[in-house]
Amino acid sequence: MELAVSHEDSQILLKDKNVLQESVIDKYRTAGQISQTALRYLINLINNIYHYKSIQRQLTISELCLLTDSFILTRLEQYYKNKVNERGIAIPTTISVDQVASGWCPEIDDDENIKKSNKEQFSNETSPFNSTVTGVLKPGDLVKITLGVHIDGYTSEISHTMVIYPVDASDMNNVKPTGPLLGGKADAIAAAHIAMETVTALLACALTPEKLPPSLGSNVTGSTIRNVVDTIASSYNCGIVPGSRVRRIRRFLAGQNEGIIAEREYKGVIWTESHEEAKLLANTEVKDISVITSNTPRVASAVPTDNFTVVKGEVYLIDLKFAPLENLSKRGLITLNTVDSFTGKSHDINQLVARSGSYIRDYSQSYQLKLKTSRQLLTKIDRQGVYPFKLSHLSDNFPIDLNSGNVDEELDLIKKDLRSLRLGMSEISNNYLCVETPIQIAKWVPWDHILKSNNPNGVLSYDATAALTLPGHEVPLPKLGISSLKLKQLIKSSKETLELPVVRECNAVVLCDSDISSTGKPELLRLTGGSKTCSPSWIHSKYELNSTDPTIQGIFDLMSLTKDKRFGISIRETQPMKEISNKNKNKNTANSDEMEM
Amino acid sequence: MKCDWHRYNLKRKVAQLPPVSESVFNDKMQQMISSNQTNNTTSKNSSGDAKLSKREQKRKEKEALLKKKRQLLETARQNILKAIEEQQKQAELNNVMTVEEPIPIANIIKDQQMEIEMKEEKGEEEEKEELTPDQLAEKLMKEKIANKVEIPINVCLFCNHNQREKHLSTFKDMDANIDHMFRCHGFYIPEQKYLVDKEGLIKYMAEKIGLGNVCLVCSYQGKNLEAVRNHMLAKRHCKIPYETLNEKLEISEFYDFTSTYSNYSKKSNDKETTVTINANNIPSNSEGNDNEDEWEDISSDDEEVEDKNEGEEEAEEDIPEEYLYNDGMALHLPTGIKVGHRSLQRYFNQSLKPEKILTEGQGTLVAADTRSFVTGFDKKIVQTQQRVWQSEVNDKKRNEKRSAKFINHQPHYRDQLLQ
Repeated sequence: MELAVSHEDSQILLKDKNVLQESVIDKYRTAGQISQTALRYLINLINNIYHYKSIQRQLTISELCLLTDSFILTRLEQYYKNKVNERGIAIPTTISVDQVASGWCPEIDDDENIKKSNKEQFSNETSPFNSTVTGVLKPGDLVKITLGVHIDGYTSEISHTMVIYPVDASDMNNVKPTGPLLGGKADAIAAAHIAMETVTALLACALTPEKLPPSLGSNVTGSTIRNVVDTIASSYNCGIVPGSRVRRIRRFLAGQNEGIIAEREYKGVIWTESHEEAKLLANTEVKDISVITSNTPRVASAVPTDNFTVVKGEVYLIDLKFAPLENLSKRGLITLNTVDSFTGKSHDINQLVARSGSYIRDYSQSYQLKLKTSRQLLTKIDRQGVYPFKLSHLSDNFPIDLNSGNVDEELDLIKKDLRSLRLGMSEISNNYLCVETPIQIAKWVPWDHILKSNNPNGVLSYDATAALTLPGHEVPLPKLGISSLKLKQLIKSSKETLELPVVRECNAVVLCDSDISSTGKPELLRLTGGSKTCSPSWIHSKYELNSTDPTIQGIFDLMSLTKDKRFGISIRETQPMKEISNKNKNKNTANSDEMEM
Repeated sequence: MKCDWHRYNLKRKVAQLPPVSESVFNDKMQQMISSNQTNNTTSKNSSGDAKLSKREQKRKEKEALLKKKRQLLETARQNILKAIEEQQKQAELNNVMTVEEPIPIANIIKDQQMEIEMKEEKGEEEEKEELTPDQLAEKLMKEKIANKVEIPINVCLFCNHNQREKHLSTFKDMDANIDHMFRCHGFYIPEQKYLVDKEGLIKYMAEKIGLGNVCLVCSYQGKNLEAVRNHMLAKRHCKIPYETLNEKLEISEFYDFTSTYSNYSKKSNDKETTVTINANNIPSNSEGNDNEDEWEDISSDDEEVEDKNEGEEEAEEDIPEEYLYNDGMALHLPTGIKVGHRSLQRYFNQSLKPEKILTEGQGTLVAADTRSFVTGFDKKIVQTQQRVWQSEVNDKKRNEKRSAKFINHQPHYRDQLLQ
């Protein structure tokens, strides 16, 4: 590698800067507030368009993404100006609908292309990707909104799933959904909400381990978290989508580079295909399974394992994705399939074809670019930071002035800029200086189809296009010897393969010890999410938690602890900012509207 | 008088050639007669050789003359210097301590030259009759002096033009003139900081051109002022050479480097007198200073420009003993300044792409990254592997060869069909 950082510097960057202090928590909190506000802004926009119908113009998904990004940046302008070197958008706003698991944030000039290359999905109303392709949401859609803000590298990310309801058009003054959401999607939403609250409470228990219900163990470890989430998922007949994680985040290392860099001292629980495989094989009596491991040398701390204990003073990202397993008679594997943008291939007509909107820079690659445009663009990218970005963020006309009347004109200007930016970007990404963040679709493949196949080459087959695999998890099914290429082929070949709708909830929490918390007792500061912004949608699930299970009993105990203000565990939520005008902005108002749960 | 020999010598004089003695002339005459006779008999082809040899002869003669002239100039200079030395020695004897200020050397030289000129003028008539080579040269000198064009200090050494005001050939003062020469002809005066007698230097140069008709840079000897000026303009020789020791010594009289080794002289009191007073020591000292001056300031990392300048001055005042260490490429001064050698100036002048400075975010990612990229082949391992493969191939071949020997190991031929 060309770049290197001295040992002392890396100590400062990785250790000292991550020690929680007043200033650090303040940055986290401000970032959390801005992301909460941005989420509320976007939810209000969607509600106004699809539920209240107060906005006549149907903004497409790409326009909604860009508007929210502009909103974040204009809000961010008011905080830490000239005080920190780096601040900005940590994740470009993505709006993934139903089966699209993550990463859907097309550029505004890409709408026509997507429609053109996905004619089938565009014309077919019942296609699972119809709303994704048209950019217009439909009643019954699960809309996963993901966004993030960082100030000086202290990152808060948020992800929330909202539901588009059919509304009763008769009474426009009192708009109400015609009914609750039912079926599999409702199960997944319920499971995600409960799992999120439980894991938050569980992490809060890490501050006072003595309060942890005995059925969950004595310490909050990785396996405790996995056990709890798995139990909730199975009791709501849901599967956990690979890519879900509960991980520690650090300054500038908020999971945005996962799969690109092999992060030192990775601490977190991740859910991958191999864990589903392990669960399947736990019930069998097969003994002579040779585990395939790739023999690339790697640092042990970079490989995620459950063998860790959550301690105070850390910041965690809880990113959970659930997929309902409704109407599935067989057991199967939930996996992710990356969408590509190759047109003209003899592909399945129902396959989604799109290119990703956001990119992330890989700083370990270096290449002398030939085009002047690309060199200029790379300078801009390097200045922009280490977080994923969209090309429109690099345009001179970004951010859009949301209060001015002519948003359309500004969008057109950005569209024009995008053309030259794309020219430069093609050379940059062709030389691996930037990596596209993938658009992923959740797929379900029955196990019997996988078990019937064999893959003699196993680990030797290498998938160059495999998106963002974590170190140690390059082979999706190591015990069965199914490589990533083989799995891709299996997904394609099986007629029973299904796409599953996905629900995603993602929050960031800070574990403050008593010496830095405002109340003087150890408390969990919830940067994003919570009852104010991420209130669950109106759903009815036919499943409920079985209270005889000891783990579920422990979960109930946990929830009652959060209610108990005196002897329980304290969780403090960061609230979105009030709609303050630019004149009387001050931080005190932002602080005062925090309240205890 | 009025014999052939005299006429011949007159012609030679017109051609700016030295006269020949009577015996030489007679020899030449006889040669000419014989060659004329042979020319009549032989073909005309041979005449080319004779011409060529003649031309060569002429050239050789010219060279010899030039050499003589140089020697003369040199001896004159030596005389001057000797005279100065003596004068100074006397002064030294008179009082050692009082003589602190630099002696106006140029003036002394001038006086000496004037004396010599006077002497020459006196003896002119006598010399005309005796025409030994030495005296001839002296005569030439006199001619030169007669031809001498005085270039005043406010007139350009190389041209007669005033660029600003075309109708004027003079400048309002010497500095304007120097400025003109620097701008138009690239006439750069080295080490201006230590130049004490600028006027003297310019006058010396003017004399070199106007009197000696010699190019400043090369050994070109012009017939007259116009010729040497044209040469210098055409060859771009309008500069003072300041590279070799001799060149530096030539104009060292106009410089005073004593300020640079004032510390040094204070420390070693016994050397003080020689350093400050003895004019002969100036060249050697100036050479030492030159060596020191050749060190240039490379970089002082985050200091401001003012600090840097101060430091530079300090660096120049510092004597070489005061540096911390010399790593062969740079002197490390106690002030933290690194002084690079002039020979590496071209590298210091390069404006290279600045080193990439990582932002905190990039640094964090780089620090946290544990990826190991594919390294290139290790040459040694590849070589040993290749050797192993080669020996395997060789073994196999040899074994095959050996086994082939025993394929047909039957003492008698047996037809398979008859078995």
